[in-house]
Formats: sequence, C-alpha cells, structure tokens
Amino acid sequence: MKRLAWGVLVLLLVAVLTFFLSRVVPADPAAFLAGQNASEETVARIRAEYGLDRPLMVQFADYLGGLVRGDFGESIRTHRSVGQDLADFLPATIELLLVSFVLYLVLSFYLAVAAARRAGGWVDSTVRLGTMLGTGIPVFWLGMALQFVFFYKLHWLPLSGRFPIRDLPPPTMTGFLLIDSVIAGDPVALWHALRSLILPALTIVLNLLAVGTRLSRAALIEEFDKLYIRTARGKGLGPRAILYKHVLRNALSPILTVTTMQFGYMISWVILVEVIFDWPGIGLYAYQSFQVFDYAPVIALAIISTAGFVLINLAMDILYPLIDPRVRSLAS
Amino acid sequence: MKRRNILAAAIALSAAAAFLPVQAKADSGTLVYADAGEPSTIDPAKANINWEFTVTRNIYDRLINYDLANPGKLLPGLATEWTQDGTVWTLKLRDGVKFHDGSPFTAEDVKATLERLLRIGQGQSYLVDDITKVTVVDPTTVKIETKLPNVYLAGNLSRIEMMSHADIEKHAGDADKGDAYFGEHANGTGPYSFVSWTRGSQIELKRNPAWWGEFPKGAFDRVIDRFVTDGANRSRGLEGGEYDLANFVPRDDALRIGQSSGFHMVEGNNLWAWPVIYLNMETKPTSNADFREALVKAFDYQAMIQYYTGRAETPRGPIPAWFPGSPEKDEAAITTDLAAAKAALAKSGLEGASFKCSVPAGFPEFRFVGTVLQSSAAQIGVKVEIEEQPFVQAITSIKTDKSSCFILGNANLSPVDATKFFAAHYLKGGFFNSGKYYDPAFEALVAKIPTVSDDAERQALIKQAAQMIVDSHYIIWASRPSTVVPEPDRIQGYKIDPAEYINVRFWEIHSAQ
Repeated sequence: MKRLAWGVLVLLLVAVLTFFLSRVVPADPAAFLAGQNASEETVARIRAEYGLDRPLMVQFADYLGGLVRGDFGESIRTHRSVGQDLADFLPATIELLLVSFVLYLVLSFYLAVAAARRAGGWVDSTVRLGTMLGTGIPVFWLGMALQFVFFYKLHWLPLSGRFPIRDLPPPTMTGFLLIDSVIAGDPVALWHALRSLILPALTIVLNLLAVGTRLSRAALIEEFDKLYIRTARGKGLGPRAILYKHVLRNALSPILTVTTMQFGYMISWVILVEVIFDWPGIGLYAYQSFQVFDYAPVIALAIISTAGFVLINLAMDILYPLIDPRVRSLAS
Repeated sequence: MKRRNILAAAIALSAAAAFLPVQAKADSGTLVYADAGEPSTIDPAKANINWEFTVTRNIYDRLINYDLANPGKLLPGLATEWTQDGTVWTLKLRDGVKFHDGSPFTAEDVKATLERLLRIGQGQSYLVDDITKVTVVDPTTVKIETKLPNVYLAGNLSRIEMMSHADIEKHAGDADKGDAYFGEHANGTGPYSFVSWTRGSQIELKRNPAWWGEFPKGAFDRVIDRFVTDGANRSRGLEGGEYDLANFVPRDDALRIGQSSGFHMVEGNNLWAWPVIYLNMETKPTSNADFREALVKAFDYQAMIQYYTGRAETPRGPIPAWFPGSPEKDEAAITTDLAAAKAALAKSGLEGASFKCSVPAGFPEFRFVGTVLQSSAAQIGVKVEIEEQPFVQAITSIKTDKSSCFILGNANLSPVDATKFFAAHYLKGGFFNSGKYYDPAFEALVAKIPTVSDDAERQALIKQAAQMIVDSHYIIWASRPSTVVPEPDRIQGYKIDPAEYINVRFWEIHSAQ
C-alpha cells in the first residue's frame, strides 16, 4: 500500500515536471497548427480554441483535472484525443515489447546457463566475446545494419512496418496483430505479422542480451563456486540436478533484478527502434509529437512509461518473496 | 530424441522458414508511395504540408489547373472557362461532374468551399484571401469578387480544392463545424477516392472510375501512401523495391539511385533558391547596408555549385527564370568579388566585426552553407559564429534579435503569383521575413502588382520590386539547385511540380508498358 502511494506520487511529479518543462520551450503550437501563412488573428483564434492563451496555472489545473478523469487532452497534430491515439498506437508497442521480452528471457537464460556451466570453455568464450561486441553497438546502428543485411541484401525480411504494405491486415479486434490473426483464423496474416516482428525485436534484444547475459552468467558462476554446490557434487548429484535444483533457484534473485532493469531499458529503446522500423507504436507517436511541440501526447507518454516502470517494480517486489524464502522471512 | 533436441529442432526449423522469402504477389495494380510524414489533417481547407497535399490533391479537384512544363499556362479543371472583368471573375463550370458519393458538383459547392476556406483562414486560404463575395449565378456559373482587381486569382485558384456543399452543411452544426470530420474523411470529385487511414502506417486510395479526366494506360487502381519518416529508409525501400516512389529522398541517395540500373532520374525546377541566408536588418553589424553588401560579394557561390555537383545555378534575384514574368534574365549575375567585398566593408567601417548565424538543424545543405558563409566572411576578416538549433528556435532567435543571420530554403506555392511569396518573405509581419526587411515603397509596389492588367506594365513593376530586394543585400541567395527524383524503370509519369515542393499526381503515374 505504501509502495502504491509512492508510485502515485512519482507519477504526479512526472506530470508536473513534463508539463512545465514542455512550456519552457519557446515554440508556439498554435502557430504550427495554423500554418506559416495564417494571419495573426487566425493564430490567436486557434490559441484560444486550445486554451493555450490562459495562464499556465489554469492550464495545469485543467490538465490535472482531466488526468484524474483519465483524459489526456487533445493532440494538436492528429486533431484527436490522446486517448484515441493511444488506443491505436499502444497495442503495437506492447506487442513488440512483449515479444522482445520473451525472446530476451529465453535467449539470455540459455546463453547464460550454457556459458556458466563450463566457465572458461569455448561456449563461454564465444558468449562473452559476443556480448562484449553487443554492448558496444548502438541500437540505431544495429537496426540499420539488420535492415541492410536482411532486407536490402538478402530480401528475406520486410524493411519496416507491422504488416506487408500491399496486403490486408486481419480485422482489428484487440489491436495486437498476432492475436487478431489468430481470432481471424488467418495463418498467413499471423505469419506476416511474425516476420515483421523479427528485425525490430532482434534489434532490441541483441543489445540488451549483452548486458543481461553477462550479469546472469556472473550470478550463476558465483553460485557454482559456493561450498554447498561442492557438497552436492560430493553426494553424487548430477550436473542437471545441481543446476536446476540448487544453482538456478539461488541465482534467481539477482537475475530478476537485472531483468527488471532490462525491461526499463527496453521501454527507452523502443522509441529509437520504432522510428528506425516505422513501427506504428507510441515510440513513433512520441517522436512525431516532439517534433511539433505537441504537448499533450508528450506528457501522456512520459506518464505512461513512468507508470510502466512503477508497475514493473511493484511486480518485482511481489515476486522477490515468492522466489526467495530469505526475503520472505525478512518481510515477516 | 531428447525433449530438448526436439525443441531446438523446432526453433531452428521455424527460424529457417521465417527467412524464406515470401513470393512477391503479382500486384501491378497497386502503387506504393513513401511519404516523409503522416498528415496532420486531410481537410483541404487546412492542408499545409507536403504530405497532406499528397492526399488532398489526388482526392479533390481544383477549378483551374496549370501546365507543369509551363506554369503560366492555365488549363481547365472543374471550371472550363474563366474571365476577369475588373474585380469580378466569372467561371463556367464543367457539367456532369460527380463527387465520390455520387452527388453532382455545382456552383453551390464552389461557394460553400471558398466561404469555409476563408472562415477557417488556414492552409492555402492566403492565396485567395482577397475574395470578398462568391455568388451562384446558375448551377454551372459562379461569380467571384475581389477587393481590388486581381489578375492572379485564376492562377491561385489552381491551389484550392473543391469540397461538397452538402458535406459542409451536414457538419455545420457540429461543435467544431465539421473541422474534425473533414480532418479524417474525404469526399471529392478527384481521380482517387479515400479508402482508409491506418494511423501511423498508411492511407489507402482507390481509382475513381467515374472521374471526368483521363487516366493514362497502366494507371494504378490502388494507391498506398505510406508514412516513412526516416530519409534513409525511404532511399533503401525505394532501392529495394518495397516502395515504387518516394519524396524527399536525400539528394546524395537520389543521384545515386537515379543513375543505378533499373532506375531513371526525373529532374526539374521547383526551388526558388536553396539555401538562402537572411541577414537581420535591425541588429549590428548586419543592419549596415555596406556590411551586408560585403557579405553578398564575399560569398563563395562556386562552392555551392560544386556541392550540388553542377546541378544548380547561382540566382540573380528572388524569382527564378522559369517562373512566369520573371525578370531574372535581365538581371546582373551575382558573383564572388573579394575586392569589391573589401571595399564595401571598408565603407561600412565595420572591419573585424563578428556576428551569430542561426541554422535550422536537420538539413545537411543548411549546415554546409553555414560553413561556406563562415569561410567566405573570414576572407574579408569577418567572424561568423554558427549556431545549429531546431527550426522553431532558429527562426525565433533571429526574429527576437538574438542572432543576425538565419538560413532557409525558398519555394513558392502559386504557379503565377510572386506577390504571395514576397508577402511571406519581404513584407512587414511576413512569417519568413525573419530579418525584418521593411520598405514602404516596396510594400506599395507589391500591393499594386496584382491590380495591373497590362502584362508589360506589370512585369516592369515585378522587375522593380525584385531589384529593390537585390539592392538591399538583405538576402544571400546561395544557390538554386534543380530537384532530382529517382523513378524505377517499371514506372513512368512522375513530373516535378514547379509550384509545389516535391509532390505527386497519382493520376499521371502509370506502369511502363
């Protein structure tokens, strides 16, 4: 309960900060909206229509009031309510994030285990070299390199977007293309949607994998070196049993911490990746909003991504005692 | 087989399958156009950006068109005849034209469209803002009155898109008088009709078989306007065949792709000057006329020609030679002359002065021209400090006198009327008049030009006005490049529009036979 209250406080702080910071920029969204050749009167009329002529505090109070009702205001760029825009753009991002996250979990887990089992062996060396290179590569470069190889040179995968341009996507039910394809019973659509996900998801995952694998590997190796493992070996337990029954269970807490942090990074990478791959999610939406000083979406997205962080941390706090009896006893 | 091996095999198999290229569909009926942005609105009364025109100009028709090869030559559109008698223009409308919803196009639609446009006061309304009254004479005749006689009205109407009066009336009672509705719905008389808008991805159009105009053989039944914000992506997608055409392909890429096999290059004129350096008339040292003259004469114009690999010329004044009534050919060439520059500088008494120049970020050619200015000024001992900022901040910086110099590009959206361009760039309060040029004699001249019906007399006035800008040394026209658009050999019909930025007429594009 106390954590929840802190979460709400953080969100409020973000709302205040982004609201006032965005107004410091010397730009006039009304002038953008009116166009360069509009007269002063037209600009003034639009400023009034959007309430941009009122004192800042009044605008802020009005905005907060809207927030409480779940109203994020109106975008001057799309001429729609931010809520309506989010309904269109959010599913694409969540889909990409979830697929990337699952891919990350599976890959980092397998690589870390493979490397830690025989620390110093060739598998370990390869993984370590690979992850070292991975940390050094910037996301935007990686994305463009993948496009260059798999679209431009090999013609294996689409350049960008969520779905092939010329084909009809399945009817929108949930906004998640994978789920909508399944609902529509359309395996070809599912196939197309999966293919479109590969490059953006890989771009996100390959970068995170570097750090994630290394830290998970270190956590596992630390456990492998502990005395109780030697005891387990001594009493004749097989390597599989040791790994799954003992090492993994004990190394899970630090791995979980790393994973939480990684998910946070994922949210910040997603803007770049969506711009590179023209992925119609909130990252691309945010990028386009920034460019024209469209306040409402920018603030809404800051609040939403913060809420994402807060929720993940909350979930982790609940998970820790479940996987680690030591934390459980500490809490009680 | 062990469970894990089965799993590994399954993963490997599906991974391999994912990489198998899916057979490209035989889909010659679809054209994919990669646009540099997503429309903010598709309301023809508000459309103001290139990628908004992509949609509106293909859905809606204009009363009058113009010849792309010779913009001074006006062609019939929804109007078949037009005559001017003082302040009154009378237009005869095309009979039998229907909107996409099947309703007929009449004089009522012209009246409702123009009245709505002027009420909203955005988008292209500035081109016709001197209209005072629109009268329906009969279903195919409409009278348009202006404050003063205006010879350019017909030409400027070629930028105004006609909506249905029934639609406008139907939404007149909405809270925003239909503004939101028309932002994402469209019903025109044009060659393509609106099908769908997938937010963040694309807008789909389909051919209007009932269109009054004529499509070339091989015209496309379906057009997809795809939003591709990243320039490198547009180049790569065009080259890789994902897109059939693209706008704003970075110039280096455009030249390379246009000259590679499977592509040809479409080259034409639409830029008045690019980049252009504006000098602040109100801050030291650029407020000094002799100092500005020194900068104009010191500037290295050849460096710009080389930058554009020879596909450019150095402007002699504000209006390019291909624009109707341009005085360019009679004007003196502007060339680099360091001796004259030093003499002018000595006269100004501002030797060794320094100033700041705001450069909008994101344009490689703007950055380049900044460094050319810097080195040119250094030749006469003047120091220029370059500050790269987002566009809005850069223009605000010079307007609020925090900087003495600003860089921009020039183009004009009217096929015939230079005074609208002058108004935005050189008249008091003009949005792009960032250095605050002001000359009452010039203002009077610009107001007078459209009212003069005699061609020779009007051209003399335009020449006089252009000369005033040249003589003020307010502007350094760094270069005037041609526009280059790469087109795949499988497609034909793209033309550069002299009165728009890079834009597209889908109804003229067709597959190569």
